Amino acid sequence: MIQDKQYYLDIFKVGQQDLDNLIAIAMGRGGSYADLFFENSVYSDLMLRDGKVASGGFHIDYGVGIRTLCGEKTGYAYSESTQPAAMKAAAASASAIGEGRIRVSDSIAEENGYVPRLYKGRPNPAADRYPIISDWAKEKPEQLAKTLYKLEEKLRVADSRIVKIMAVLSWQNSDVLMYNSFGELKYETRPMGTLAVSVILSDGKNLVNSHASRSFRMGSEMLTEALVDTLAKEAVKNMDDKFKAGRPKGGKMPVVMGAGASGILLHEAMGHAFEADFIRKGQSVFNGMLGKRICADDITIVDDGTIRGNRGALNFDDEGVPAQRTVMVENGVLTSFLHDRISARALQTQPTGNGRRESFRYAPIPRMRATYMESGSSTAQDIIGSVKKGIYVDEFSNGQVKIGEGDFTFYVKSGYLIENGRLTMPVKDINIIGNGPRALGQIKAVGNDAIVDEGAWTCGKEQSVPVSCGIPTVLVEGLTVGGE
Amino acid sequence: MTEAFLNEIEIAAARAFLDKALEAGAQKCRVTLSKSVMDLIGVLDGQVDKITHSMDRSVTLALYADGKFGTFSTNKLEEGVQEFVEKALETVRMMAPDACRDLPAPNRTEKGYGDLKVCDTAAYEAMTMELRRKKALEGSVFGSHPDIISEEAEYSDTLTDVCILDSNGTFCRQSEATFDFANEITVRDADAKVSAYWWDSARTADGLDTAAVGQEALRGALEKRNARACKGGKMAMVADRECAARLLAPVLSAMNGFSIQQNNSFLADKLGKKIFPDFLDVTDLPREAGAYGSRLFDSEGVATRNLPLIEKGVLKNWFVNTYIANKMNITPTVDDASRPVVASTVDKDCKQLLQACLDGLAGGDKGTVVVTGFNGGNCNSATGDFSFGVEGFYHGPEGSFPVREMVMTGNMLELWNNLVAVGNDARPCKPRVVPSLVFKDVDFSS
Repeated sequence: MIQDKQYYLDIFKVGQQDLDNLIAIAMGRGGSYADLFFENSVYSDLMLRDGKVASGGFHIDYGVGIRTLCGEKTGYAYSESTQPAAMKAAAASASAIGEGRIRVSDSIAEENGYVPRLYKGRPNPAADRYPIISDWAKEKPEQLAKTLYKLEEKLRVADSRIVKIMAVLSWQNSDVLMYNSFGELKYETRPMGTLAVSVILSDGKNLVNSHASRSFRMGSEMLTEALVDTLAKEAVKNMDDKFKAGRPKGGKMPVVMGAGASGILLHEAMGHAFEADFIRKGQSVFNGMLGKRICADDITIVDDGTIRGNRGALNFDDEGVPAQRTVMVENGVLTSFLHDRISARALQTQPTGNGRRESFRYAPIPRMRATYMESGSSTAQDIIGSVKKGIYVDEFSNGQVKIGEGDFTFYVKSGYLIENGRLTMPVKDINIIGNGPRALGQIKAVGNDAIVDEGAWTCGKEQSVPVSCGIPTVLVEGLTVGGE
Repeated sequence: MTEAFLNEIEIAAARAFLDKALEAGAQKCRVTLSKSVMDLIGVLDGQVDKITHSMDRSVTLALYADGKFGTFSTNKLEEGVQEFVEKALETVRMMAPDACRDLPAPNRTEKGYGDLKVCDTAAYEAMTMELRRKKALEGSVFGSHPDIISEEAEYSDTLTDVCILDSNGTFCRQSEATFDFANEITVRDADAKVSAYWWDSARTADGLDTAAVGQEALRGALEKRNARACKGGKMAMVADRECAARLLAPVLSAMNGFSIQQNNSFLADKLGKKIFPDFLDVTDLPREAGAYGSRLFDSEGVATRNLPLIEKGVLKNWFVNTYIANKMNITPTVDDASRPVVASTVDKDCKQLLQACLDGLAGGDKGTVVVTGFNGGNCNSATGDFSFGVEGFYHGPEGSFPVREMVMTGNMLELWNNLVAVGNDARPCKPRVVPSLVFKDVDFSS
């Protein structure tokens, strides 16, 4: 949601002159660029546990982060108060990075050809990717709690083996205002709503747990009957199989990634290594690969901030650069890394709108938004049918990557053994490990069914930011699967 | 004293939140006031790349009104207190009643501003920007080896100050200062690259040897070159002192009262039972002076005390806060582990334990994997089934070489019952005091 400029200036109790003064202080010791990031976030939650919504609350976080750049070097400080003295002190702390330096030669300004002014105009409400139809701030908690009770009711009906249900509804509105030494001023209100449920089921002998979530940059209009139905069904999906699930014999084998949440493979195995701070520092396994073929020509991988209402959507990033759809791999060729202003300067290209931060407490760094692989031409059935012995995975949790080596890992909550082209024994609680560039090269089939998953994915690279991921059904020829 | 400590005005502000909550109709209230100041110098390839100064303050309210409960926080201490409290109470009154919500009994809470020797004020106040830069740059090893591609290091010092006040009259406070340095080195590995990370922490800047950290990170990176997977199967495992705590974490998590109450713990019906080896003792020792993890009180203000967790293989206690205790009608303890210590069973460090493995203590005929780091993975809290990516070194019939792209899989209870020995080399800078651990018959896949 984008409100009038004055709305944001009033929240932060600043005027144009204050902004200019702070920039002048931040650049006062030789800085070549400075920016301000004001934030007023209100996060609220309600939790249903043991049959009642008996806990919840709200949390206010308010302040301004001030950054000074000297070339690629960063000075950063923040203030939790927007009183002039406190902000000036923070600006002075940030300016220390420039101590003893002479400006001009290391400028990242337009005239050096690296970073053109990107967005001089006012934010445009008509182009807003997350207009708020029903404002969370105007909802009464007892009304919102009804969604949680409805979800519980549907779950109880769906599976009588449920022994515990815990459901959480959380929502956040963040008012942000940004200003930089180019004179660019941006402002908007970023909503986020998340409905998540965990269930424990017992068959009298064994316990099985399951989790499902949906998260959107939307107002409370996201809380529809259909959403509750979807979550209830997903939380108890394939439970008979989960009770029967075991572990396969471990080893290297073909892995078929189910469409949607398997996009965590892209996020971990490739996406992080495409983040250009790692390129700038020489740490990524993809250093020196730009413009080169890195996988089959039916593979296109995108990082997209433009999907309306998506958890990874942005109008502009946390450096004020417009969000975009960045094609990282096009028909198998590495075409772009993900840039903030610093890495763009270092690699002499333009920022891609990936400069993101957890809050005003953090300096922005290159981060993914919604990362997905586009559809190919195979059907999921044909892909599974082509595997003599392997694993099909359809539910994931956390993943991780080692940037330098490219080794990645993700945890499979559930899936199936594939034997002679058919799904057979259910499997669960196994880890899969591989190497990013090698896994990309080992993708042998791409399905025609790409889905961007709408779960509450959060990426934890130094700071937590909301993201999403997606993929069509994909066959990777050889990954290491943990097992007995 | 430095601005990093809570001052009288801030503590008075916290009292104002408490008083206004009670005036507005709350029957009980707890206020947690915290403040943290951190200065950080980042070094990239031997040069200062980042300077950060941060100061955080916040107030968190736990409100109890008309049998209902809610938690609220803000970092606006000086303005809008009345409005904040009134809105919070309005929210609380919309919740369903929950009779189990309560403050801890006054006789259980810590009193006063205690000193566990975890905050060397003089050492903290002596730090200047120049000293920080010097300390950070001293830890750089960039250029010291021809195969170094990249170095990313961070020096930081942090002072945290926390106090808890409640409507039962509790007031307790603790301050802590740490001086930290971490270095990640990336080196050439044939036509690829490999990286390693090392860190250390001390109570004074003088006690922090940043140069040694840099050297250790470099050594780690160079040793990891030419890594490959060994053949999978059941092998002995030494989890070294840097990563062994990862194997204790799921056990501690399963001892949390919330998990127990929610039927989401593989230790739910195991209290008082012998479920670990006879020789395994784990004790929470939260009051050792100067130690990492030491704390005087938990998040409710409950005074910490020594707490046996596992004694001669018997599970002795869970972590139970006031709410869970009331809900399950059991005796409360503390909300979580502070400084769990796994008692050593041998007078050996990791290297000696490894040699013992190779000599046949646990290695079997397939060899031993010395795990130096975990790469992702998870543990199912309800069943204890786990699967972790591992890296480290293989020693056995295939030779001795670094390993990567391997996975270990099993069940937490089975794993701990395959524990063979506990070393004596726990790192003092870690709040979970877990030395190198030796296990037999661990499933590795490659």
